[in-house]
Amino acid sequence: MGESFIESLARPSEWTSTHLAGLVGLLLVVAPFAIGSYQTYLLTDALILGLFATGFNVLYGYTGLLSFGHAMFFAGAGYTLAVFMTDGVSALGLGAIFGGATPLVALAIAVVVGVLVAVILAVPVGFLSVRLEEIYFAMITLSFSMAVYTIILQDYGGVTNGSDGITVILSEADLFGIGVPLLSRTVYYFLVLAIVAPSMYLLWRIVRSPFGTVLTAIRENPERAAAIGIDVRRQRWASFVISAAFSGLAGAIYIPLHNVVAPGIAHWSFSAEPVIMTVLGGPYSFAGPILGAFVFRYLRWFVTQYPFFQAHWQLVFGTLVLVVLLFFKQGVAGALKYGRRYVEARSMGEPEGEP
Amino acid sequence: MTTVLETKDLVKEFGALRAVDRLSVAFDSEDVTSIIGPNGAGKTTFYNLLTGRLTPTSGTVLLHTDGGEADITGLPTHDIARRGLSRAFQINNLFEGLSVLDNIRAARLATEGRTYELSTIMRDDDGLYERAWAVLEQTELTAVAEETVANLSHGDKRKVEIGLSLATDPSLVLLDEPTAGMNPNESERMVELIEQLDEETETTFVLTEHDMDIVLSISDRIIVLDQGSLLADGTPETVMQDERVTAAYLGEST
Amino acid sequence: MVELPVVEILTGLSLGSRLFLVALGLSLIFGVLGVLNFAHGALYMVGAYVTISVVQSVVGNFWVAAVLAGVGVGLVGVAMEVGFIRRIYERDQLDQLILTFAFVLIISDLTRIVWGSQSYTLDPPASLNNTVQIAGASFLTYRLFVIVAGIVAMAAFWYVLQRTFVGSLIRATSSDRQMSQLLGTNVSRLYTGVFALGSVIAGIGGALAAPLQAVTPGVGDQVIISAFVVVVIGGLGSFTGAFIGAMAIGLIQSFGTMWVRGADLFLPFVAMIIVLIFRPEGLFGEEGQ
Repeated sequence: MGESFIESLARPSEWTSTHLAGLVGLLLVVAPFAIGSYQTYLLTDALILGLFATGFNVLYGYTGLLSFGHAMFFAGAGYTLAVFMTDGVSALGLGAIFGGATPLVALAIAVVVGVLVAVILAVPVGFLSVRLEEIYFAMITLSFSMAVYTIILQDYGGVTNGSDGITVILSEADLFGIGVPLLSRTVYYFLVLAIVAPSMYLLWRIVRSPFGTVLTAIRENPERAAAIGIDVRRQRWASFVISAAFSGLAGAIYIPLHNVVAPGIAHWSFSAEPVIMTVLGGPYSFAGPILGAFVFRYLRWFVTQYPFFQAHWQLVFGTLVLVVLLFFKQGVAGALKYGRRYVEARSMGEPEGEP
Repeated sequence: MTTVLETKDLVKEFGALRAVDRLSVAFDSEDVTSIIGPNGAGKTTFYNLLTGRLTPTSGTVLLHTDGGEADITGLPTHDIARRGLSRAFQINNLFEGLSVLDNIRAARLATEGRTYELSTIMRDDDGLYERAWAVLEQTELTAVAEETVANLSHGDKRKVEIGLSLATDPSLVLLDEPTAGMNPNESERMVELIEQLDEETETTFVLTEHDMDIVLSISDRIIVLDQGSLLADGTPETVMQDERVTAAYLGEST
Repeated sequence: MVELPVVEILTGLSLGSRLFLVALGLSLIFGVLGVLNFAHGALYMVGAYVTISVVQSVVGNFWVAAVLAGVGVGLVGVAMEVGFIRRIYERDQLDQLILTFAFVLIISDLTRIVWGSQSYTLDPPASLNNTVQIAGASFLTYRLFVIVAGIVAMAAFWYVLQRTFVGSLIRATSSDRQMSQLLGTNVSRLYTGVFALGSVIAGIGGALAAPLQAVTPGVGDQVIISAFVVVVIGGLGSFTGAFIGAMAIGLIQSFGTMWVRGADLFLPFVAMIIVLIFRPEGLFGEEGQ
């Protein structure tokens, strides 16, 4: 094997994950210049949802705990960002400190604080929730999330603005004389990419680490995990908090893209979205959830072209989930893996010239 | 003759039923000990009490390590496992969706205290691989290392079961009917394996067994339980001559 | 003599009665089949819609409509069980939850297709559409009827459970599915029957609720969440628990609004969280469930 990386590109059937990642990365960088503004917006949305689903799947696919309440972290961080961007910036007098760069700095701080809030919420919620398993875990996370939803909706203390929500519109940042319009879809796309790509890499490292392996053991057999010396509850708690942190990150960067945060993203039906995305994409591979997120987002866009389907996307997705769960347990990722094996098997047969 | 594990007046009641009745035994590090008794004698309950799966109604369990004597009564299972008391289950209790290698690696990670380690990529850890491989060699599983456990034969699964219990560098392993569900050939191999491991490692082996041939061939010491209490405790010769033992087994075929 | 907030109590009990019917079906299906039917609220909602349609049609009679609603939803239940639920008994609980959730989406949308998204209201049946004076306040007679209906349902169910053969089958299978199978129960038919029964009860619950609340496609979601809270508090698989839990939640919601704005939405979840932490099997559930 003395050939170079470039030469190995010539044989698609032998591409490794590194090849694929590189190709995808290249496409992602070039994309906004090739597709229109609306498509860039879609792509940004899909990337964010992909991060949400991948973060969610650390807890579900890798640890075996199904949460129906992840919306609370997404929304918690999202609302934190919104409140910070509208009230916090002026209250802290950031404008005076950072001058023209304030919009960008404020955004960065808001995202960090948003993630912190998600983590602070996840620590006690996770601590209490991991004492339960299976459907009870699903139900307690659902109820925590709905409690958060009702608090947001009731607008206690006038913080969340209730059902009206909070509007967040990014302004232009002045970086060393260069105007950076954060509201521009292309600019925001690259901001999101700069956050999502390293986050996905981090998540990939986490699931490939010893910690990640221990989580899969817990998923497979919690009793045996304890019998070999693993503190199952504590590990689950850690997984929960990590999962919540990345879900929160996704929530924070979601808001400026959509310009408004409303209680709906804390509702349990929103918690169901990463579940749907993960089931569609396949929970047992790393890329499954983000594949599912892309399928989910683009399918939703696709159906807007057909009024009947758009009005009834629930029917479409419900049926899709049903079919995938019943017949294609491994989701899209599983289908791709199967397809890849098929391609490999065929290409191996060729040199021999077998009929 | 050093005691590695002992119980003092161990009792377990389930309502009105006394499953384990004032059981006091001491396991010696030099011996291979077999626990026998009719079905329902309390063997599995006893194991559950030792490993923390059940909390005793009263009595104590003491684990002797280099550090001294530790009262492990009622501690959580994972804590007891970390202290060196390991268990192989009667019904295969494995990480079915993982490969054989990953099963062992998970146990190694737990033993080496690396369960929160995020910085390394597990597959690239050669040291871990070697240590896990050593366990696979000991249990003759190297041929199926990359196989998913769910796809293995019953005999191989039993080996993984033992492999898991050994991978944690235990001072004592509780084997629960290691030859369960095996044909005579497989059983013979399993017995040889246990004897081999007993010789090669410092680990003390305790097993429950129904097959008296196996018990007599492998044991240095036999403990007999009946309805939760200790019926006899001694060398195979002493125990087999004990009238109470033969009475308890009257009508039981081996 | 302390002045009892009678109106709030009765309102709470009438809400509890409706919840009970959904929770009963949910608990029944979980207890016997081991499946937590996320779509149970959707079935309740279909019952409400069918009732409205029948009343607004030539038939015009509420009681007939209620019966038809029960039967109709029962048939939907049979279709669901035979077509899909049956295939996932062997799968783990989480898969079952996701699958029944998929049904929530499907049924909700089908409802929207048939009946549209607007809000429907229904008057209580003429015979009960009057008020009665209790503790100085007016109280709708129909609501009293609903309370009575809930109690009657509980009593009837208890009777069936304790005194009939079907009931003993249900009890037996609830506590040990495998054993029942070994003893020769035609589990497959029992399962379909139980799922159908649970659906019928939910359908009737929806029918009874139609005159008391605005019926929209969102009703199913609201009710299933409340039903989850009820069965968790009462104990999954416990029928007494479903009754007590439902009444408790009904009362909590009724009184909650008195103290803090929006508390009726809030407090049931707090109650559920507390129960899940201190007694996960529920007030009347069996440990290890």
